Amino acid sequence: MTEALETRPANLDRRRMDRAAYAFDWLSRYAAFSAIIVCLMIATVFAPAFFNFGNLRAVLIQTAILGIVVLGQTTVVIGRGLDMSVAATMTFAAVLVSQASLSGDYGLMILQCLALAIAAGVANGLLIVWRGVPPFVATFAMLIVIDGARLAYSRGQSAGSAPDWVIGLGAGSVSGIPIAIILWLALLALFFIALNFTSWGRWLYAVGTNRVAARHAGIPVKIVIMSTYLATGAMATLAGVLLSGYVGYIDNTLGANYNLNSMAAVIVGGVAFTGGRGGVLGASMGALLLTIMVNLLVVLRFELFWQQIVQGSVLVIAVVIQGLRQRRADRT
Amino acid sequence: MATTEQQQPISQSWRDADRWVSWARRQAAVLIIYGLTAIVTVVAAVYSPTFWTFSNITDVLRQSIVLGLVTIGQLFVMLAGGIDMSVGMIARVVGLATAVVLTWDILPPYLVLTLGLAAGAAIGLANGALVTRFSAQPFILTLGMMGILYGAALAITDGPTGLIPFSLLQIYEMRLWGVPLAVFAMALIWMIAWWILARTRFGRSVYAVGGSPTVARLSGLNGERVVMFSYMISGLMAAAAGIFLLTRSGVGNPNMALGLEFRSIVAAAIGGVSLYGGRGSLVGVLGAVLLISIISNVFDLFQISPYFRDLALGLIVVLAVAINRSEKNV
Repeated sequence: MTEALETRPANLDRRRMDRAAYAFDWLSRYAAFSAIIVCLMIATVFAPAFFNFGNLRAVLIQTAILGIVVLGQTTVVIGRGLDMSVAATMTFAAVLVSQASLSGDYGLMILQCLALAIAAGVANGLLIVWRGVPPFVATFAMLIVIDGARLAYSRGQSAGSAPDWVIGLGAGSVSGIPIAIILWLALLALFFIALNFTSWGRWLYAVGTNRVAARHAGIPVKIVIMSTYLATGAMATLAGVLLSGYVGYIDNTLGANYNLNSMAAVIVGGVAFTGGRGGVLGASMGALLLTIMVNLLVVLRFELFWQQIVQGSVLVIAVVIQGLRQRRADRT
Repeated sequence: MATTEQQQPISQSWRDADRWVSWARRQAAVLIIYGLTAIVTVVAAVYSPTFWTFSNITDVLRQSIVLGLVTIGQLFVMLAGGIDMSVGMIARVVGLATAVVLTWDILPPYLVLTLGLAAGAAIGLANGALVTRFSAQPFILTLGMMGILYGAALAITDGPTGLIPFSLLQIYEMRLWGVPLAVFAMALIWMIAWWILARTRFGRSVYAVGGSPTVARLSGLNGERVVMFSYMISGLMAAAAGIFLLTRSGVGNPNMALGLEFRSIVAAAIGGVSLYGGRGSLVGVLGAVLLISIISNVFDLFQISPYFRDLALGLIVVLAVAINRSEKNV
């Protein structure tokens, strides 16, 4: 009798815990999607100007540029890493564009961008898989190197404008659809297929979930991790070129926000920082959410500093939700 | 009998040598950092007539204070198994807010400074509470906090602001026997930090919690409280760095403390602190802070173009982290 009385509350407690675990799991998956709907409702009531054709087009192009960085960042985070050097790579790519617009040697520019993408990816990957340096230390050391290399290359004179064809890439359209968005959707499809329907994708999820088990299963762990950093290097370079075309004017701070934003988009989009969970669709939702939020702040005439506060808060809230989900998952 | 008497001293000396070798191996990171510092110092003294002068050396020591303060805080957090990306922005927000409140001239200056330090500790405590209560990943959480604080700093001001009373400028300027008083104060802070880490219960629990949270919990340590304290110390030290920067420039500069979080993590990593927690020493970190300060002083003396400094520093960092192969291959 007394035993039954004592066990009942425990059972109830366990059931409540399961419900909480389910709630955090749902939140960590669909946080970005639900928040987008809330944002759109706020926009309908308070800021009808948000739905202007021109504004929506701007939001989608900005989402596309952030989204391209996020594709690379997603693969890295699935593999249980992170890349802090994307912003530096983007700024360097933009500076390469501005230098090329002075010299007019665009073949050289494309070669330089390729070299930048490969160098950033290989350096990050080598430090991490070959020397065992923790990802954030390796990539942030590379952030200092890439920033320094950019300053040494440009001697501080990075201000300039983008050539017309790059502006066409960043801001132009083909039969009404902006080129940046076409590029983003094509790459999104490519990454989606690669992650879900190729052995590389299966390997990557395995490596992110349990590296030791993956190694024992014969997966080329080092090559897989290396490939994710090459992907971010390439995506960040492309996004830097597109951003310089979209803004049209290049200075030293172009792309500076993209470290925090790409991480926030990935985490709020349901990709677990513990690796092996989430995908590019959720992360793209995260990119859309962050762009919509910043745009709403502009449309609602909030001061500039609110953008930083909102972006930081999204990251904090998302990481707290994921932490709670992880804690519940560990307990049950 | 005779043979054993002959063998005894030999094996004894072997055991001594063995002990020395194993000591050197354990202290490898610390020995390397001091060796490098000595080499850079000698090279600089040989090639630059102004480096090895009393005024330049005291200047280097005073320049090292800001990085030293922040890195001590970072050391506590990293030893306890975390990381604090928000220290630079804590320093900036506290520095700017202190400058603004000092300009209002409604409170005694030293009370304002105390409130600034308390604010830094409170922000650090918030970091610690979020990390422990919600199992949030420290790096990403403090990165988000860095974004929020950056916004807060922009909200306070986007131009130089504040007028610092003359008495506070003396914190930076005042000298004793020709040496800035701040250098003595910093030496005292290093010693207190060493004493806390090496000689107190709290210091040992920081190592224990960072080394293995499970073992620490099983042996009855309140790991969450230790981690929260470590973030609080980090916030406090960052606030102190922000206030010291303020007394140096005399005005609240919206770009102050730029990149301090990166430099403090670099200093800790070069100084042999494990990025997985539980390993590292204050002595190594002191060496790393001195090395970085001397290198940047040497850059000044040899008039290295500012456009090449970041590249050089970055390459040094990459080399350091690549050489310091970590024990856990993650």
